[in-house]
Formats: sequence, structure tokens, C-alpha cells
Amino acid sequence: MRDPCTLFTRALLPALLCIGMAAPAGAQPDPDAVAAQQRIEAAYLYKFGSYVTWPDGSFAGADSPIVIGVAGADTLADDLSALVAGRDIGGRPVRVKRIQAQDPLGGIDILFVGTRSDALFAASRGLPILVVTDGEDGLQRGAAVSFVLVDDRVRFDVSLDAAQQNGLKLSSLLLSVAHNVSGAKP
Amino acid sequence: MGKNQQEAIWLRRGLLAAAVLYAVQGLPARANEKALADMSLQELADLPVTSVSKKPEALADAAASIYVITNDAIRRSGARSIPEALRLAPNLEVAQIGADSWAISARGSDAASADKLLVLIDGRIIYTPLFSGTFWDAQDVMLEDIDRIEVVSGPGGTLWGTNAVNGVINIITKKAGDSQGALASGGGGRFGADADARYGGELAGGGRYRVYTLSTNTYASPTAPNVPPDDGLNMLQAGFRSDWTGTAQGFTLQGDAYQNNEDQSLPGGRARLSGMNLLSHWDDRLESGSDLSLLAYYDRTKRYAPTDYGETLDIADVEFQQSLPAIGAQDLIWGASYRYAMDDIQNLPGSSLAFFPAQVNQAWSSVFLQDEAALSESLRLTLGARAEHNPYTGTELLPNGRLAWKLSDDDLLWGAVSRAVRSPSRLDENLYAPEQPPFLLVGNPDYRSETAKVYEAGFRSQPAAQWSYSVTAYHSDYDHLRTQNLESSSPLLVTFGNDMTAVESGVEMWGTYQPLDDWRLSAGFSALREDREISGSALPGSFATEGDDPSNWWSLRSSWDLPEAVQLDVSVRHVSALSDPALPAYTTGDVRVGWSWREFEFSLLGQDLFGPVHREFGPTGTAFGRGLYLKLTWHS
Repeated sequence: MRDPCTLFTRALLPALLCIGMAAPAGAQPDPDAVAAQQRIEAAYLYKFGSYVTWPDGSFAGADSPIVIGVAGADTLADDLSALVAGRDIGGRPVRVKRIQAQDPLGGIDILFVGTRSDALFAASRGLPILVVTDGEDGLQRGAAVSFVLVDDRVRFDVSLDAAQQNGLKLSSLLLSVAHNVSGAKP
Repeated sequence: MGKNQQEAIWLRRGLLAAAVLYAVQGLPARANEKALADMSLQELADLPVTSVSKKPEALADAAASIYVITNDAIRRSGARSIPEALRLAPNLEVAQIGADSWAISARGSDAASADKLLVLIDGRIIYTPLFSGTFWDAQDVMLEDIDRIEVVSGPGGTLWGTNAVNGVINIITKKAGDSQGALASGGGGRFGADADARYGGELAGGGRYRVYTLSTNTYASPTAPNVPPDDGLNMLQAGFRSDWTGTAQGFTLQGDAYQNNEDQSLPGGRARLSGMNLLSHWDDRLESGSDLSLLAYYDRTKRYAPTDYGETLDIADVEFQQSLPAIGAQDLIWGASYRYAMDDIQNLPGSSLAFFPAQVNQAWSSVFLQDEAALSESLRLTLGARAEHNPYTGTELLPNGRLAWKLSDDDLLWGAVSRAVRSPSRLDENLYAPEQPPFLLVGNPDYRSETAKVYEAGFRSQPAAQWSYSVTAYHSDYDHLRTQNLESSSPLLVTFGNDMTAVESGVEMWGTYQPLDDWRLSAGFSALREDREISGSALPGSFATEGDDPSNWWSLRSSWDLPEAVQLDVSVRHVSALSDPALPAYTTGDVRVGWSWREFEFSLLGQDLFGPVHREFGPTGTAFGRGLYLKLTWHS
């Protein structure tokens, strides 16, 4: 069913997901498109936290932080740190942690892989981590979410299989905003 | 046969109207009635139109841009649904989004959620107060029993109320007396399979009735591998209509009930729609020469999409109208209406949207008065206004002035100035996204009405018996259109504002040419230019949600009656490119061959036969391509 009200709302959502973030991250327009793209991706990473359900026991307590690990994308990590300062996700504080290829992944809840190395994808398999990367082949490499550029907009593809392997549930809102959703239904 | 009967009925009515006026009042017949009585058979062949003046009027006399889709044209187009039939109107933008969803508008602002078009079936308003648009997936009628569809582009607020900003679509079914006997049809093809049946008979006391049932099964459009289909549709509907027609009175009782199932891509089962309506309509011509009409109906619609939302909406509506006997050269008509809606939304966890408050009861009431003055033998001035009270912004005034100059029996020049209003809907004020905090979007409880000032001029002519045409030019100034704005209190929140203005100018033209008795050619062309501007804190994304329109579209149609009761219809249509999201222009066409034999009609339709696989609308629009549809109809 393609309900008019739902189509209308969903048409707005991709814009909403990044618009809100663009303002606090810096009101002046950035001439560098790559930098702008990274800021939008950073905003997505923060926003994703609200639409993922982690398996029971992933957090020590109700106010344990949500930790977003960033590998191989320093500018994005800087943007993200600035962006999450003073914010929370559902009552949990948000921390940003830079990750190297060999680092242990315990305690990480969302992981952005900005490197071309596949080691981190392998290491995160089966752990309760939402693995995010960018590029058309991101899902094949093992990520649950991969950013893609469509019509000059940052969109994202979702692999339900990859999310399921790591024990994560993604809200239907996230799926409805996604550019493409692949994989089995839960 | 049906068509001749129809003509005869209208001819009788026109003559009767004139006769009553002469007899009772001894006044000279008004220009309008005279035109009716003086109508040539050619003029009668273009069906009378109630939409424009709310009283029967020859199409040639209506001071508006109006196109009539006839029953015959629908049959010969091979249309399976109302939206497909609406493709026949050159003054409409019709774009298919998916198997079950359409974007339909006139004069711009086209979207799935298009909200400036008023749609009625036998006087029952079918747009929803949820978003001021039409759920096309919940509307079906037995196409064989449609008498005609009148499509008025341009504002009709004075006669029809708010939301008739860009146009009015008036779907009018046949009287029971014109659909007697049995009829059954079945068809199937690449896009779906359908069956329907109707029986019409006589009632005690001189009444006639018909009962019908129909089943429409529209297949899901192809999707990418691993993506489940999300737009297949099964509709099951049944209904009846009964009419009692006396010399001066008429009474109609009719109703429908339906149940639909629709695919959806996310887990949770299929979406379910159901609804029913019951409508009564009473007409009386008093001895004083005054015409009374009372329409009352109840309409229930239910929608439930497991991942979106559920809704149960009950509407009760009463409309009264009186045409007064002519006073000198003045012809007065007035009316009042009251509409009550009980809307109950079921917000669903995890949905991308919600409505708060979930339940509301709302009322709309209005009065209108319109005067038609014959300034001279050939000049008619119509002035009217409606005051409508809505639950959001209070009272809105919808005035219009129209001038018709009958240059000759076959040529009419007309002009009109109108103010139209789209009053807020629940979507504007009560929408939240997603369904629970943190919200990204909240509706604006102070949303104001969108307004339009519209200037139109047109010329309609029938220079010879074989050909006729209509040309309309318009200019519309819109104000307070919907925008998305950053909420000042929180940089993370978006709400709706009224910070867009738009200027639209365009032309609509169509004509028919009948070189031979059995060969008819028709053509239509529309072009429009839109300039939209936003101000204040409005975000640029607002442009896309106001709608996306081609700059021009055209169609050509050839209807040829061959020997041995074979009919051949060929049509071509072109729609220019869309910009947001970018979709290329397309040209496509259908061919239909029909063959009548005794009580049977066979037809084979080739859809999009010489067109490319094309997408018609929006980021989620499906690509449509070639398909065949075979149909068999039997009537007693």
C-alpha cells in the first residue's frame, strides 16, 4: 500500500533527518561537498541510535552511554563529537570513540567503518553492533547500513540480514527512509 | 440506445423548464432556459452539465473550463478504474505512482497527497478531511453505470466549497432507469483481472432500481529482487441505486459497501480498507417555479495499514439548495450545507507518522448565494459567494464573478474572477513524525488557510457540425501555501508554515473533429508555468512537497467505427519531464479493438503499446510498460 499521508511524510523524512543537524553543526554553508557529506553522515550516525533496538544485556544500566565508534574517518569523528556534545539518545549519553583496525570492539554500539580494510567487518560479526559504512558495495562488505549518494543527496541502504546477524532490530521508520532495503524479513 | 434516452430526458427537462416558466409566470424565458430549449441536437450530444451552475445547463453555455467524459468514451478507452478514466480529461494531470496509487490534480500542485481538488460521486464528497485529498485506492464504481464525469478545472468554491481550488471532478452515475436489465463482464490481463455484474429492474410505485457487485484485482507492480511487492490491490464492492421520478419530483436512494486488501512491503500482513455509504437525494419543482433539492448522506471509511496507521472516519452530510423563480432578468440560487465528521486514528508503534489528537469530531457549515443576471439577450453575469465555517480557521469567504457572452448560437466567450481557499486538514495541524519522540516533525496548530485568486478567460465554439473546440487561459496567485519550517524552539524540529507563494499561468485546450459519421478525432493540450517562492524560515524542501508538474502534456485520440460492429480506438499521450525528482518526458499510447456480436462485446486493449517503459511520478513511482487486457461483456 502506498498511502498518500505516508508517502507525504516519508518524502519529508530524509530531509528532516539531516536538516535538524545541519543547523547546530554550523550555519554557514560549507563549500567543500565532501565535508558537507561527512557532516550529514555524522548526523545520520547520531540519529540511527534512536531507531535501533539492541539485544537485552547490551547496556549495563538504563543510563549507560551509547558508544559510536569511528574508524578511518577523523573529520567525521570530529564532526560527530561536536554534534553529540550535550545530546542523548533516549536518555543515554552519547560517546564518540576513534577506533583503529586492531582495537577490541567491546562496548561499541554503532561502528562507522571509513577504511577500505575488511578486518573490522569480520571482527564485528555477531557482536551487538550496528555497522555502518559508505559506498555502493558497503552491504556486500558486511555492513548493515551503507551511505550512498543519490541525486546529490546522502541516502542509505540497509541490509536486514546483517542487522539480524548482530541481533539488532531496526525500526520500520528507518527502513521506510532507506533508499534500498535488502535481506530477509524478520 | 442509452445515449438517445439520455438526450431525450434532458431535452424533455429543458422544454419542461421553459414551459413551466411561461405558464406559471408569463415571464419571458430566461436566457439560460431559452438556450436549453433552443438546443440543437448537436449541442445536446455534448451532455448537459450540472457542475458549473448547480442546475442543468448546456455545456456550450457554461462559463468555466469544463470537460465531460462520457460513458462511451470510458468504455472505448478500456479504462479499468476511475483514475484511468480521468486520463481522458485534457484538463487533468493524472500520473500513476503504483498499482494502487495515483497523483491527480488540475492546474498544478500534483502529488499523491494533492489537496486542491474536490471529487464527488453523485454529490457525495469523497476527498478526506484527513489530508484534503482523495484516497483513490478506496474509490470504485461500476464503470458501465457511469453516466458521465464532469471535470471542471479552476476554482469552484462558491458552488462547491473549500478545496475546490484547482478543480472539481463530478462523477455522475446513471439513473436506475437508464441501467435496466442484466449486465456482466469479466476481463484479465497483465495488470489485473476484474469481474462485475449488475441487474436493474422495476419497483412497485413506479420506481426503478439496480444492484451491482464488482471485484477488481490489480496486480502488484514489479519490484526489485528481494523487495516484496507493496501495491497489489483486491477490491470487492457491492451497491444499489433506486430512483423514483415523477413529473415534478424525484427521489433517489443509493448506497455502496466495499472491502479491499492491499500489499505492503513491511512486515505485519496486508493493509485493509473497508467502507460503506448511504445517500438520498430529493428534488422538487414547486408550482411557484422554484426548484428544491435536498441531499443527505452518511459515509464511513476504514483504513488499516499495519505499519502506518489505522483510521475510522464517519461523515454525515446534509445539503439543501433552492433555485428561485426568475425575478425579472435575475435568477437566484442559494443553498446551505452542514457536514459532521468523526475521525478516529489508531496510531501504531514504530510507524513513521502519527496524528495527535488521535480522535477528533469536526463540523463544517456553509451558505451560498448566487445571482445570474441576463444583462442582455447575449450577455449573462453571474455573481456569487459562499461563506464556509471550518473547525480550524473560522469563516472563509469564497466569492466569484463570471461573465458569459454568447457571440452566436455556437460561440461563447467567457471570463471569471474567483477566490478559492484550501482550509487546513489534519495533516497540516495534527501530523507527527515519527510516531513517538524524538519527533522530527510536528504539525502546526496555527496553520492558516491556503488561498488562491484566479483569473480565467475562455472561448468555446462549434464552427461546424463536425467540429468543436475550447480554449482557456488562466492566471492564479496562490498565497500561504504549505512549507516546512524549522521550529524556532528547537533546531531539531520541523513544522509546517504558510510561507510559500506561487504564480501559475497556463492554457487548456481541446477539440474534436468528426470527418466522417463513424470516425471521430479528439485532441487535448495543457501547458502551465509555475513560479514558487518561499520566505521566512521555510526550507527549500517545501517546493517538492507542494507538488511536481509537467510543463505541458497532450493527447490525441481516434475513435473509428468499422463495419461489422468493430470499433477501433487509438490514443497517444505525451507528458513532459518532471524536475523533482527528475523523470524524463514520455510519449505512449493505447490501442483497443472492440467487437459487438448480439448481446456480447469482446475487446482487446493494448496498453502503452508504442511507449517505452516509463515512470510517471515521484521517487517511489513504479515503471510501467506494455500490457494486454482482454474483456468480455454481456448484457440482456
